[in-house]
Amino acid sequence: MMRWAMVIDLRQCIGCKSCSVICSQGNGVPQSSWRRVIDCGVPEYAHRERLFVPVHCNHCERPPCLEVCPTGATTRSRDGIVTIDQSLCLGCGYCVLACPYQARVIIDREFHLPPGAARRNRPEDYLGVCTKCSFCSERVDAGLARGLQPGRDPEATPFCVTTCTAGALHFGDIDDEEGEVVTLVRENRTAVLQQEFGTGPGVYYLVPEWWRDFPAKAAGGRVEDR
Amino acid sequence: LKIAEAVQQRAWGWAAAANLNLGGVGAAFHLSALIAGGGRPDLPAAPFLVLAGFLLQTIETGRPLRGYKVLSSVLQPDGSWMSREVLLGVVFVIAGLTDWLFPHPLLTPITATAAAGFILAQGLLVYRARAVKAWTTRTVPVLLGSLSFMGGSGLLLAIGGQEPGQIQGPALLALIVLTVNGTVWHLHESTRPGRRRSGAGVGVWMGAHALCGTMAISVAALGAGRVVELLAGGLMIGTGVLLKTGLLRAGRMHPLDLSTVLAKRSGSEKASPGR
Repeated sequence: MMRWAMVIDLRQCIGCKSCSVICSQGNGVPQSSWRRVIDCGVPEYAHRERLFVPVHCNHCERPPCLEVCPTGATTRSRDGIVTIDQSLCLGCGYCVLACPYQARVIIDREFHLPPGAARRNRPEDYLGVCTKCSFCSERVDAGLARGLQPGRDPEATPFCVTTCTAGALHFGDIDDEEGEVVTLVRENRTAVLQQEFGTGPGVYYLVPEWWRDFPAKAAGGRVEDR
Repeated sequence: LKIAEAVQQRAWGWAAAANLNLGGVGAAFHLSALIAGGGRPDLPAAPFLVLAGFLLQTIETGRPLRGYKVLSSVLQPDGSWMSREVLLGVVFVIAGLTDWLFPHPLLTPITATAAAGFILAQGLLVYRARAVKAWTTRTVPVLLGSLSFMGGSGLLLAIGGQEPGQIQGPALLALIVLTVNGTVWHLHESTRPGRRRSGAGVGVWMGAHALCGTMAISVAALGAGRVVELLAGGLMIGTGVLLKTGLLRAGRMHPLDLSTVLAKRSGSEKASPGR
């Protein structure tokens, strides 16, 4: 079986948010709706290490959003990608309250895309319905159909991965024992979000040695001016 | 490591609370009348309350015209409790109104079953919203059901209609419901994680229960008049609605926590992805 997964190297991430910008441009969605970067603050360490955590849909093995969706708009494909069919979504918000990753949003106001943004979907198609990261499934599928390899060939890889300025994002098949993402997870200190929920997330974070000592007062997704 | 604090849920607002309140009170009113009054209510208030709840919900729904699609997954074993709630609510409304217009003995059990299932589905619907910490306590479905009955039996008490000297079924039922609700609420408050008690909130809750209970006792035992019935019923409806709305509106999303699943291994001792 194949299952697409993403590895995010927090040791490399510089918090530039280029992944969030290209996600919005490439998929034609409001910025930070599919992908946001949480700045865990500036600690009072001598070396002032920073921690930025990109957060988006975890494409879970057992997605809590899937079991609550009343219309069948949310589906999980055989390759593990969880998607929303906008034409079926009711905008009831139930999946937003079921997702422990806070990765789903309802677009409740009109938005405008910058020049050059993708126009595959009209902005009004997103109005009133739920949306979230799709791992650029259309791009991945189109690439596969052309014989390309997602994660290696940029045309078949999610926008955020291809654009990451720090090389912190990696995409590939988590069931491929010899693949890059499995190797990264094996050989590094790895963390996941919301482990207590047991959803089997498809996003792994490579964390620095000092991450557990990151002071609690710096955490909380805030940026503090000093 | 906590990377983002818990934030208040914003997906369900006052319309969702109104839907759960109106539907719960309506269905529980119907059942209360069957239990305490010995038959279905004379007025078709219950189906209209459930219907009003559904209509109000459409205000908050992004694409209400797609509402019929809710029933598409209702027969699946792992289907959504929202689909089940809507199906049972629709059955209740149709059967309840039909029973009022064209009474038939067969419609009574159908309506009662749909009403009971509807109240259960409402509780489980909220419980399955896993990202909201306060809603995933096991007591929540029972608590929401008992709050529905608080409003339903309160409405029955307020409507009255019992002859003086008869056994006051609605008042006795109200007393039972108040006792059950008080017990469940206490259990819920003592078991839910990260609880934050508000002294004023607990005081209001205890005062309302004590007042409702005293008035219900005076109606049941002393045959107190319509004014007391109306006051007790109104207070029960108000308390039930306030508690349910508070539970729904105050729900906070789980904070985002990052935790290690695999430590770096060396040599041949290698871990595999945690799946």
